[in-house]
Amino acid sequence: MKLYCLSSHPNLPCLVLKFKSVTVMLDCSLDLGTTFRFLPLPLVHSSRLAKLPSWVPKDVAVDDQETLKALRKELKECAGRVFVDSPPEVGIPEDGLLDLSTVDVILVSSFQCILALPYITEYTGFNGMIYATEPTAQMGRQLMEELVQHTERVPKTRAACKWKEPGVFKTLPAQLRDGLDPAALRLCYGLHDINSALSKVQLVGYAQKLDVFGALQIMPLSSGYCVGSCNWLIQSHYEKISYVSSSSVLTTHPQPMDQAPLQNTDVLILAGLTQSPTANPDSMLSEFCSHLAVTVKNGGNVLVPCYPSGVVYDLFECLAVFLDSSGLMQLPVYFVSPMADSSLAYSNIFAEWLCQSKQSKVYLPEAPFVHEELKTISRLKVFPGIHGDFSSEFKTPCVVFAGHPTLRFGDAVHFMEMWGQSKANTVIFVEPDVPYLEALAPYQPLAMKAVHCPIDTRLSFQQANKIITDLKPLHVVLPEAYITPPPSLPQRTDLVLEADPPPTTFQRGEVLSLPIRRMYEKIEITPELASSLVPSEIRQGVAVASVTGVLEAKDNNYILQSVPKQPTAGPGQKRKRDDNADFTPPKPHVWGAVQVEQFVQDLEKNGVTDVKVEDTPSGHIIHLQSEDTLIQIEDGSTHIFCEGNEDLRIKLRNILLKCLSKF
Amino acid sequence: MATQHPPVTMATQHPPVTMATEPLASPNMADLTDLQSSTATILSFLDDQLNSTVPECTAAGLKVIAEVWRLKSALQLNSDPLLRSDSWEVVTCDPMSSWFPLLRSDSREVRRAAVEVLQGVLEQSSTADFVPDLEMLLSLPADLADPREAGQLTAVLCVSPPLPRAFPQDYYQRLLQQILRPLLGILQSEQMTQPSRTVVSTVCCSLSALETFVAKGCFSSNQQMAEQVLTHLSGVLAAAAGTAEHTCKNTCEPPAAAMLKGNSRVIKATAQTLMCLVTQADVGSSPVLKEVMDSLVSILDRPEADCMVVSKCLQLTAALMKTSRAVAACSFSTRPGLTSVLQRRLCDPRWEIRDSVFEFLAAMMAGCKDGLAGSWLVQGGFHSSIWDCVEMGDGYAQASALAALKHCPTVPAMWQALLQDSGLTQDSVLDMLVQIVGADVETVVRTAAIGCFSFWVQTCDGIRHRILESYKQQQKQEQQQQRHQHQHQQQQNQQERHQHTFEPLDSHRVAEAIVGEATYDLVVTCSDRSPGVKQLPLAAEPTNQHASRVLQILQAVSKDLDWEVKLAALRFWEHVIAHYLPGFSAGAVSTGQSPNHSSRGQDGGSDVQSSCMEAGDTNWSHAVENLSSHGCLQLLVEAADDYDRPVSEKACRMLKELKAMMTSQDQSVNLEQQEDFLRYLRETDFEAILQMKTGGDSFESLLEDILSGARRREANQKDCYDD
Repeated sequence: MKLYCLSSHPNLPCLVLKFKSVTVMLDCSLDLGTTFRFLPLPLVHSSRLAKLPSWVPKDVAVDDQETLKALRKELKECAGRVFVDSPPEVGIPEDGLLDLSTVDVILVSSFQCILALPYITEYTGFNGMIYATEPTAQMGRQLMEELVQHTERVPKTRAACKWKEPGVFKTLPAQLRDGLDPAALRLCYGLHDINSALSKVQLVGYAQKLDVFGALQIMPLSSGYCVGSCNWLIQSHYEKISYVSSSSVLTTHPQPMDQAPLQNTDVLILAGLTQSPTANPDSMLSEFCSHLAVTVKNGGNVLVPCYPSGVVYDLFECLAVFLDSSGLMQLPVYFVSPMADSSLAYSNIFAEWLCQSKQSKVYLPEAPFVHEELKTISRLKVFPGIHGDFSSEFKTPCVVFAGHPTLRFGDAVHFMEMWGQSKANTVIFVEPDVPYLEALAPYQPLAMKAVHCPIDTRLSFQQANKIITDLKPLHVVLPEAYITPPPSLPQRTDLVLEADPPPTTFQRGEVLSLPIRRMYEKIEITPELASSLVPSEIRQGVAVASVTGVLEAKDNNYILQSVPKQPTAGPGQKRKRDDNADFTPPKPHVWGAVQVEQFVQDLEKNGVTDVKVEDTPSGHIIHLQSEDTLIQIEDGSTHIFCEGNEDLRIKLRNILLKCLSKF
Repeated sequence: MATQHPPVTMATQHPPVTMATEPLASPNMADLTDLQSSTATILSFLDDQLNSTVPECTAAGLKVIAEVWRLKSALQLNSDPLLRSDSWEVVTCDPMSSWFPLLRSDSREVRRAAVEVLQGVLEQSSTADFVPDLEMLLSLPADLADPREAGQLTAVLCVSPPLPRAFPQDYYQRLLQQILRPLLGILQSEQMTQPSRTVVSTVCCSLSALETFVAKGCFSSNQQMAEQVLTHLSGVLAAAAGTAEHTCKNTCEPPAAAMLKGNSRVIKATAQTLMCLVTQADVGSSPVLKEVMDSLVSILDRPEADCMVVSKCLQLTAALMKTSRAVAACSFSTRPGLTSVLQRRLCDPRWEIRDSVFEFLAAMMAGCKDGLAGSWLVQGGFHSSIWDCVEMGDGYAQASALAALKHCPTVPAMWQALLQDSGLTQDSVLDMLVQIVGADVETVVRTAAIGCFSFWVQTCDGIRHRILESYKQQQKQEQQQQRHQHQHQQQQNQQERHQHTFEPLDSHRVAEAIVGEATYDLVVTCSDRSPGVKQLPLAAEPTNQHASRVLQILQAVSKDLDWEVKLAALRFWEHVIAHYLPGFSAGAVSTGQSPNHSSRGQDGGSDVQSSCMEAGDTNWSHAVENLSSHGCLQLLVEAADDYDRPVSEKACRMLKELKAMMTSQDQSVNLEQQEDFLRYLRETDFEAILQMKTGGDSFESLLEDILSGARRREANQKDCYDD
């Protein structure tokens, strides 16, 4: 069994598992961190961004005027950092490690781990199956479409490429260069790619058993992190592998994590732990509310860069309660995203994927989420973008939830440009995967207050360690980053994962041989063959029979059938070569101990006289003096020494075999 | 082996234990002989136990010795010659040489039992001299591997001053070094090899021992030691706050700082110890306090600070600002951090956090009444936050906001800003509180609102005047104002509206508002309760109609369903009486804080007598008439028969004191109108009522109450169809 790691981010996994001749891709996440190297795409012209000075590397040959000219257009400097002035590009999974067209199955855990799907299905020759839950597929589609709309809404005339040339790239500043593989950068896919990729997805439900080419059985299990998110159980008849990614044991809106089927697996592949191990989600929620209230009470506006689904559902619920109790019921809350409306609508129709309390609301009948009611009474105002009706409805002070959390594209860019220079305003980052200082870099110097309240409900290290202990896997496989404390907290030795035996780790570009040795395979026996068996009882309760048949391997299923009878070839007919031409029935298995007296009597019956028996510590030695032959009988073995007399040896062997039990 | 098994039962069967529970016989020769015989048995038993190779047996023997030491300490003051017998000395002193070395035993259980004996020995300064080897004792904590055990031992070694005779003069200094040693070891280590959990545990144990050291006053006016403790606590707090690199580079190395950073256990323990230090020692002038303040603000600013951390840090901050004028002034003038942190914490969704901030503001106003504090509070906009929460808050946060509001009038800048910025008047504030007392569903909120009235009657002349002046006077003033502003017809309309609004509330309606419809039948029952209550034909009763709105509501809540509210109302009336009768010692008659903690018999006759003497010059008849006009006397009479025992006791004590004051007055004073009340006072034996046993405290009564309540519910009745 082999595991290929195609992603460098432990929370954005893309792994490939080769097991029993099946190639399974576990998640296909897209690295959006690469967009931080690019300048934002403003919805309206930004004079500030337009006036940014160009940056040219000092080491580039001065006489290469063409390169210099291109770089001047491509690289801009802002607050001491260099950015690429081009449509943001994303980082795709590693594609040089194995031929992605050989992938048979793609299993998607959550809508955040599906974003690279079009790059794999549309550009690699992929011809397999994709399994995902319905919320994952739908919300994944929303995320992908939002990404496309955000980038296509503000098209740049040309994409920068000169800066990626190896000769130039090595001269770039470290903050632009480090951790970036220019070869893995891609412009965002289009709507056609999304539709084509998602058309290949087969929707599955929790605990639904799926057969993969007869070799494996896979089953999605609720992971408790977001609507429709799941862990995967991959099992053969004798091996069991669990893939636990982005799970949560906290009580939020999705169905709780289903742990029971994940117990006692041979291998547990673990990824997607919390990005903010020291930030308690409840504390962060409190911080979010208090910063928001202070800003609004002081007359400022609050921008919350976020995805259109996920934690935003919980935020709306908490915020509504908080605003009621704080006397801020009249505060306008805007949700601006091309996918805002459909995201809120979908969240309400996925009741069966929600926690029990929300499911029970549906039977009242009520909307499971409170944002439906907030929308109805116009406390939450939803707009696809800042153009159109939004302008007439917009009032300050207010709270705006808008994408994209990276602040490189989307409506959030506009609000950053508009509110960034007033210290009364606040931008609150709630998405844990976004390094907020990176996101803010092209907006510096910034007067508005920036607050980082990552609300990450995924497993903490402590919870993950407990789950490892509870699930009792034989081997644990996890990203290398999880066995050392986070770089920002090197002394926090408690923020690591431990397992016994020590976990196997992986990082981008590594291929692991997982310690699973296949010992058995399940084979079916046809009724005809089974009825022909004659078991022999070798001891009380244990009966054995030798089976002889033809093993048929088809679709990774094995069937043992009776040996077909050889057709009797008529005169003048030729036997086909492959009709069991060389088939000979196997010899029966003999067992038991040789009874010397019985053996001697049988020898005499067959005309072998002049037998002398000698007892030895390990058994007996029988001398056939007339034949100059020695038979050495020991526990478990008998040797016949007859000085090259083959006929005699066969004769003696047959007499001996008659003395033994057989089946 | 069977005989060496820990003889727990033997330990309890031995004379020292049984003697404590059995009645002591008068001394005679036979008793002394028996005692000597018993002593010999005990000594033999203890000798066997202490020399046993089984740790459990040794520990059991040590526990017996510890028990004997405790008995000995308890019997020190007993004059019984039998108990002063030398036999006890034998029991306690003879095994001394045996148990003391066991402090170094390999067995944790034995060591723990030996520490118990040590604690018994050190509890009394007279017995503390029996410790044979102080040097060994002081070096012991350093030899213990388990930080928790070392911390417990050092806590035991904290002997309350005065120092026993046999102890060296530098005992406390050396003990302090022992306590600080593990702390310094961690803070100054270059490389941390221990896991963070162990480090945190060690720090917390040291802090716990340090708190014991401080709480027992072991540095008794030794300023240098107090400063030393403060410096170290500041270092730990800085490490936990993440400000170590800025404030104490010399003491806190990064490894420890990183391990302690943000640890709530460490922060809570440090804050608690610092709180103890600030209250026990005079450290107000220490410059280190400013660093402590920096750390506290930093901790309060941390998003992950939990409710208890915020609460403890705010309590410490208030105590520091109260203790040190320099710290307070610095915080007010140059530290916008504290203001912004508090403002943000006031918006926290967790009520516990908001509650802590309001408690802090109340403490600030109670402790720092100077102009600087007032202007700081106003600049931070805290007056608006308090009022917002009083108006729109709920539960404990609202109660704490009310407690903070209580102090606002004592800080002129806050009160002025509150009235101006929120467009309020004294009357509108009082109206809001009246509304809360009458309509809020939370007991704690109603009690806090009544607490405001009590405090203001006690301390604020202007508000007291508004509360106690009659409704007629208020109405007259309002009419005069209206006359100047509006035409006659409009005045009449407004007057009618006011009359309608301020129609006196009767108790039944208030109670309805309080408990809602769900328990309406219960309210009716309660309102009609005690038909035998003496309804005095008090002349003042009709004048209740003219009492102010505050007085009306406080009459009404004397029939509240909650005993705490009724008790709070009685406290208010106590202050009202004290206002009219300065000799009436408000608060001197202590109140039962709960039905289980009644305080009968605490007010001795001498106190009453003294207060009567003080009241000699007051105008008794005028006071009684005023109290009667406020409805106070009638409600006291009714409260004396209240079904809630703490309320009844409180009213009886108040009436008892009034009775005592009455008897000291000139009998010729004409009080015909109050004759019924005075006769009631004269004829009622309040002491007898107070002594009366109601059975409310007994377990049997509690069971009867439960069974009685259960019988009333049909669901609890079993019928023949039940399985």
